[in-house]
Amino acid sequence: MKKQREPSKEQSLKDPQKRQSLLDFASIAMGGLLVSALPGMVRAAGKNDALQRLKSSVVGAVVEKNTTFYEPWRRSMIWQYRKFERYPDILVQAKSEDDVVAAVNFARDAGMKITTRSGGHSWSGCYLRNGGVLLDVSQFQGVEIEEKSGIARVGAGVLGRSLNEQLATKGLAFPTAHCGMVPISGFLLGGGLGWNSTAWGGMSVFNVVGIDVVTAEGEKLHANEKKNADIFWAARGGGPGLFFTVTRFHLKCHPLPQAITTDTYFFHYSELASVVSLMEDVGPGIDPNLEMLTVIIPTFPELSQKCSGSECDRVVALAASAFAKAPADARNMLAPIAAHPVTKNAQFVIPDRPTPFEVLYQDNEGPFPQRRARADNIYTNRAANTVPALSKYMLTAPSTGNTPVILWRGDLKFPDAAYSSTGRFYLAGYAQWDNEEDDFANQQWLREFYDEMQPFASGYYINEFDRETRSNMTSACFAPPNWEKLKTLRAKFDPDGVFHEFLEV
Amino acid sequence: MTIAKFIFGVMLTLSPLASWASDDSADDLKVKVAKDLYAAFSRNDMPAVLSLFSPDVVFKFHGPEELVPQAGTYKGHHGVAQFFARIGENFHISEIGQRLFSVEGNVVAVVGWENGVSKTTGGQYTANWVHLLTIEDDSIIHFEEITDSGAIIEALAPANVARGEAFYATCLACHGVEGQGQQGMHAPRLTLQDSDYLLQQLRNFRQMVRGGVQDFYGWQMNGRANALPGDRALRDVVAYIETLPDTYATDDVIGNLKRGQSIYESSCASCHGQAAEGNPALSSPALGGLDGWYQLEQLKKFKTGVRGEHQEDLFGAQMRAAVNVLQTEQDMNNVVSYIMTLTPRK
Repeated sequence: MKKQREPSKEQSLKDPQKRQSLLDFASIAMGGLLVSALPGMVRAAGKNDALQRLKSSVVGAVVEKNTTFYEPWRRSMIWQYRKFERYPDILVQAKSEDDVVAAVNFARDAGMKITTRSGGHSWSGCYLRNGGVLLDVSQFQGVEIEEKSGIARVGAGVLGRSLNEQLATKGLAFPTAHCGMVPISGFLLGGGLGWNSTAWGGMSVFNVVGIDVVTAEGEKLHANEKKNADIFWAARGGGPGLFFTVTRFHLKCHPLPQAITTDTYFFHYSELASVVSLMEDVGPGIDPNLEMLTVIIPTFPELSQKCSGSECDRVVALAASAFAKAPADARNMLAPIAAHPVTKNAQFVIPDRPTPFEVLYQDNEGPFPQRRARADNIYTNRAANTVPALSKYMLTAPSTGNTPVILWRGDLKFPDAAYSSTGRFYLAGYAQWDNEEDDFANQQWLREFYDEMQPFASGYYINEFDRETRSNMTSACFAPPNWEKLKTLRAKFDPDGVFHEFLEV
Repeated sequence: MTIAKFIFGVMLTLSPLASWASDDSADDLKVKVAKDLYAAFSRNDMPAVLSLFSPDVVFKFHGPEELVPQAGTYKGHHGVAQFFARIGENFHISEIGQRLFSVEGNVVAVVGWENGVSKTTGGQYTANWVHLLTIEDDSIIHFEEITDSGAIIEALAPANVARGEAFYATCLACHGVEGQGQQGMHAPRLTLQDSDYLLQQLRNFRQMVRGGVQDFYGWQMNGRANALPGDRALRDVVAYIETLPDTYATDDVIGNLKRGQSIYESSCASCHGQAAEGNPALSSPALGGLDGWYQLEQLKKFKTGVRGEHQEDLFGAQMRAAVNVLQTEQDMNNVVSYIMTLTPRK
């Protein structure tokens, strides 16, 4: 059923009635031939043997810098609209594990560095480096679910929404990222602050029971707690500084909560400090299967009508989602928040809303569309102390899409792994805007905002850490011994430094 | 101060204004000639267009002549007609607008833009331009067009499969490595579909004619379609999709086949074809390539007005009206179950 391409019709013309325009009226046969603006795809000649071997052995795409289609490929590697001025020498889109092996072997033999991207869903474009190989594993889309054991074997390029939709058919669920379009790979390798994280492992990566990797030596390995345990240790949190490529994750899934239910309270902006104090009050006592977060968002008609005076353009929203087995359980889990006196100050409440994963994804993705974006964060045990800085920077935000998110985490303990940063609260700041000319204002705003948050930091989540302006602080995303061990393991498993280290800008 | 001195002073003060006023009206006349030109152009009145040019006019369109067919220098009325003929041969200009008219001496500078489409490639463009009209005695003696010829060259570039493959890297996690679609991402199969239909939908997503935050999966497409750098990239990615192997629907929809067939034949087949093969002439997509779950999702969107409500989505509006024949969800199941029997399987 493949068709020869014919010249397209101009379906989208504003006024189809006027297609026979003046121009047709004046038409005389002039015989103008068109010449393509682009030359054909030309591969530079005289490449070394390693490159020839790479090209002949890789089934997927190999794209060199300074060739015709390099820039379309490079730009396609990045989800957001900021395309980052960093240029790898070669892009390889792998179709198989053997392609990954070929790419790693090429990098090693050619004395180049390599790094990996799965879906490119990054705030800082950490996988885009100057020089070396960028290995794209987004085509690794397989999902195999063992219903009985609750184990899913999932390709590195699979998106969170897809995973949970497929798991749901087997009555299972996984703590993916809060936005369903985030691929699992980078998310998990940086720890993964996912849905219902307090109950589901603290960080999503602690639901990973095994990984399939390709090492710097080009060797395919399986790693878990017992086998290749050091690699498994590093993969659980080593994130964008890892010294191997993960092609597949073996995930321990959870029974799908049948009654995910959300209460949302909307407050006047001046209530921010009270809402944070509510979180401080109720947090320690709530069920770990209750996720509680506060976000500052632009107002909406029901609320703007009730608001008078200043700060009517934004509201404080407190959302609590119970990952419950049954509606009655959900009500019990949500009760401590409903009973807190501060909720009486809410101007608008949406109670008892059934929020299956798909609704949760949509709630989160609606306010975070594809734009120009940056993020930064701290973990803190003292959220109340951050309120003055939060208030100050919300008032000076250069874009209406800029918002902090305050998430209750609790007192979490993790298994021994590279991931080792925590605090009772996660406090992320997001900047999102549309125009390149506003890049600097938003960068400065976020930088200064989080400079003022530093005194309250107990740690940092590397996946949303501003690695462009704070790359010299990357070690702070790890407990000091874990950082040291990560360096030791890198020296052991990748002594020649085939894999790029953490991004330094 | 004597009265005479006062009057003289007032005259001195006012004289520049008087001179400006006189210049203003001369300028107004020149701007009127320019505006008459665009008005004549807009009503397809070529004799009126030519009447505004001096018989000796020099008409220059800047740009590389080997890449932009209308670039070059033209002389006299014959030359101007030749210029418009070249444009007519290569493009449809759907909209033309002017932002600013500015006069200096006998030159009117007009800042404007046009939307056009290449007749060769179907590529759409918006080109910003400046026209410099030198006007003497209400007649244009010299015309220069300085335009964003890069935008025109992009529209003239044939769709390129290899470039499209690069852009497809942003599609595959939802639509599948082979364009087979993925229910988990609510992303339809892209193969077995007419490429013009795919291109039109990509343009709709890019221009917010389809999607929006109330159409959640469309909202995701709004972001992705706009991440592609221009209309040419849309054509490239559709050209790549055309090269993907045919894949076939694997799901079934349970419904009453007989009732479904009755609805389909009386209300759907005239646009979508007896075999659900689609009709590019009517911009009706092939349904035979789509999975049942996706057809049901779209029918519900048309039914609720989530899709097909935008005033520029003319074909969507037709479907929005047509879907009224489906009174209930059972009707939808019935008709889709019948369409699935028309769907090629392998």
